[in-house]
Amino acid sequence: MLLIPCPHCGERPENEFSYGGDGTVERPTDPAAVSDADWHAYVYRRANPKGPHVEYWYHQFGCRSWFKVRRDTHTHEILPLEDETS
Amino acid sequence: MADPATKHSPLATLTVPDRLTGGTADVSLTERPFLGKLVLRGGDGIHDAVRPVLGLDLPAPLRSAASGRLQVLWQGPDSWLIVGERETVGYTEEALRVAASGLHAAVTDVSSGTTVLRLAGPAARDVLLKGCGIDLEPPAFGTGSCTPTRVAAFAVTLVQIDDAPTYDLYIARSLARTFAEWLIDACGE
Ligand SMILES: [Zn+2]
Repeated sequence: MLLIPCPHCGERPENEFSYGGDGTVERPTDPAAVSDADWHAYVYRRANPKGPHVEYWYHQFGCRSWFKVRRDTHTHEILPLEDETS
Repeated sequence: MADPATKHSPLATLTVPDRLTGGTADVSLTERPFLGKLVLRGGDGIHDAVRPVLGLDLPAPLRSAASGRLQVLWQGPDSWLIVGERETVGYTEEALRVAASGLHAAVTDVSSGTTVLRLAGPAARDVLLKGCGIDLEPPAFGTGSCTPTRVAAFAVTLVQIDDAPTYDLYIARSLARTFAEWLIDACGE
């Protein structure tokens, strides 16, 4: 089982969390101005990289916070989050 | 037909085996029914605002705090559970509303939504570890420690009361019976 570092609770077992998917996707600020193809891409299209991946996790069985984790999808290693506004 | 004026705790009809009710067992299991409980949510300014009402500081993450009449449990970065006798919690609720007015804050009575199971004795830690993946050994988790966590399939708020060790487990009332039966089963091994 993964140990996932919650910013509030520290490292906790994976079964306390829900996975939230790609943490870099941004909702278009003006949905009405977005083409159907671009909206489809925003809702459904994901990169699925093999390697480092910034993703959302939700501490469902804990403090109920959403936060971002950078995880290597190949090795499951948890990596430092690169500097970004989260 | 049940008397509608009689209140029943979620575990009123649960039969706890005799070996888990005595003071000499390695582990005992009891319910602490009918406590008053408030959820306090609040951000900036909430600590200073509620300190005079509670008579104590809101606990830091992963900690609990207690005065003679109230216990305060950390539940998340802007969330605390305040526990005490119903009457005490009743007037505390009003006082907290006044104290927190003007702040981005909320006070909600959740007394009936959860009940409390008390698991105590030298084997209590081992019983919990059958379903809980966090480190419960001091100093990682000791008297006064408090965290929402997962025990088996259940979301509980776990508080260590003393070094016996004694633990209080806050559980949604709809799941309380299933959870208690899981604990009884875990105590049997
Ligand atoms: Zn957490």
